[in-house]
Amino acid sequence: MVHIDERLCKGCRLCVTICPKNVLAMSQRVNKKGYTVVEVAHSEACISCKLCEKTCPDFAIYVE
Amino acid sequence: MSESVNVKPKANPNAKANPNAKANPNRKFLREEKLPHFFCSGCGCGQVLNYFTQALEALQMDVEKMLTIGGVGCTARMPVYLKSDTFHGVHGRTLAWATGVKLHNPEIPIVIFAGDGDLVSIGGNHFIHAARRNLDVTVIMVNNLNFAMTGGQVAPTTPVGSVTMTTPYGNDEPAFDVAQLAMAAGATHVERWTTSRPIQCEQAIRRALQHKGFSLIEIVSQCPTHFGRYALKSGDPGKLLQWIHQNSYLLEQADRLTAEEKHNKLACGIFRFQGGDSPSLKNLQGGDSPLLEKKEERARKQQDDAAPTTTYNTAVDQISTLPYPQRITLCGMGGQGIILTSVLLGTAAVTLAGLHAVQTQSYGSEARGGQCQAELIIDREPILSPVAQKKDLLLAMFSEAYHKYIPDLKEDGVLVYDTDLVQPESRKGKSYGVPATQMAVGLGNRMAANMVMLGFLAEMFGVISVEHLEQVVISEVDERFRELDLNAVRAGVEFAGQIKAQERGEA
Repeated sequence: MVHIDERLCKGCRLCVTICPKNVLAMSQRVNKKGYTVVEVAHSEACISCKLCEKTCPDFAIYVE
Repeated sequence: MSESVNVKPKANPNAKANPNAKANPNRKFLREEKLPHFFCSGCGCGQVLNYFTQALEALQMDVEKMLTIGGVGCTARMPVYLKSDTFHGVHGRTLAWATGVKLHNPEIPIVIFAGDGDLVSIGGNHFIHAARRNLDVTVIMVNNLNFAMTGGQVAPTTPVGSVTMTTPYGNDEPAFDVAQLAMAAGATHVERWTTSRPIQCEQAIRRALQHKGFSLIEIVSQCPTHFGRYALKSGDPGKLLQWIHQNSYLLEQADRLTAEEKHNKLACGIFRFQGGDSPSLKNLQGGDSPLLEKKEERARKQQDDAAPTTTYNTAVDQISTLPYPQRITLCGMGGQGIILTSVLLGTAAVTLAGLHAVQTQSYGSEARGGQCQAELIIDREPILSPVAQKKDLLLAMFSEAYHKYIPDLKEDGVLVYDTDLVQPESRKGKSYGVPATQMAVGLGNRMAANMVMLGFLAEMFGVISVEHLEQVVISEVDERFRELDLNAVRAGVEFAGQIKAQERGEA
């Protein structure tokens, strides 16, 4: 299960780039800082490799 | 890296934010109130901070017992977000502070976060010498290939041909290979990775934190705001991450790649990793270095020698004939021992007579033969200013210096001069000529003239007592000259005694 803290997300898309299973996608929501945040689009495809959590510069992702 | 990055997964337009989203547990290492951090969207510095917390978690290290140091630059902001003790200061000096902290407390783990500009451009000399000394610190260098915080100027690490803010037609100069530089300087742990390799970066930081000695972890990072836009014409962090990944190769692959394939690309991997307890400053602080034994032996010897060899009848609380505060200028030629003379006087006044003293000095760039002057203030009260406009006593041992400093002497101040080297003009105050150099030559070494003068000052004016002067000469002067200097002091004392007797006779 991928948790995303939308308050911290800066919409850099590094997690989208690095995810091998295309689990994540850019949403159409904007957070308080004005960034378009990422969201979990295909949670069923997630293999819990944690690459997104490890690579996120903003500590916004947690893979349970 | 995913090979299917170009396939854009589609978002669900009806999706809502998960109100129960759990926070990344590694945020326990960060100052929560400082988040979100100031790094740009997609900056590699944030990634490296993430890798660092992963390494802390893996090693179960107590971040609050660490010291993290940052200089100036984007990377240097990273300590701000960590719950460790933090030192944040001027540009490029991170390793100098780390050296100081390590000398005081060798046990504290130190991590330095520095950018390429901070570490190898402005702080380049500190870097090579810390590596040479094998200072026990972990240096995490985020190499974003340019000066990012100031607007994307060219840096020593910018690849050849790259367009930056200050190289609009491309960079014409070769770039530093920082890992090779560190190895050449003697670093014991050197690794280079890229932000596109999260697992390797985390493991490298883990090795560095456990390594005793100098560790350099260089992490080549994307800068979407500056280097990306100027040099690569893209501000998309994902694309830049791919560019970095494609422009680097692993050391293990190096044999299989042709020179053309490796051209202008950065090698990644473990360059050097020497295990074990490598020598560092620690040896001078309590290890079993042979230097320590020498140091202790010398201290023992000095203690044995400190006992006074002769005693004078001069009272210890001899009252000076000069009023306090005594403002003294000693001047002469470089090499005459002017500064040593003032240091001995001041040391005796402070450590033996219980007075207060301040000493300042100035001298020319010549090691020998230039003018040299030392100012000394001795007082019963604490001294609030090291500067005295007018002096009570001037000791002149060189003609040029005499002419330069005589205007600072009070009209009724006392002048003491070397009769062979200074021809003073007539003046209102008292003047005493001492043939110090001649007397020293008679004792076997003209270099002892300053000691003759010291003996004269002590006996004639009681600047310090003769007994204290002898003690301080024994404890401070090099063993080789001790006998000569003591003889010279006694000669000066004797000469002062003769002058005093003459004065009494005249009166």
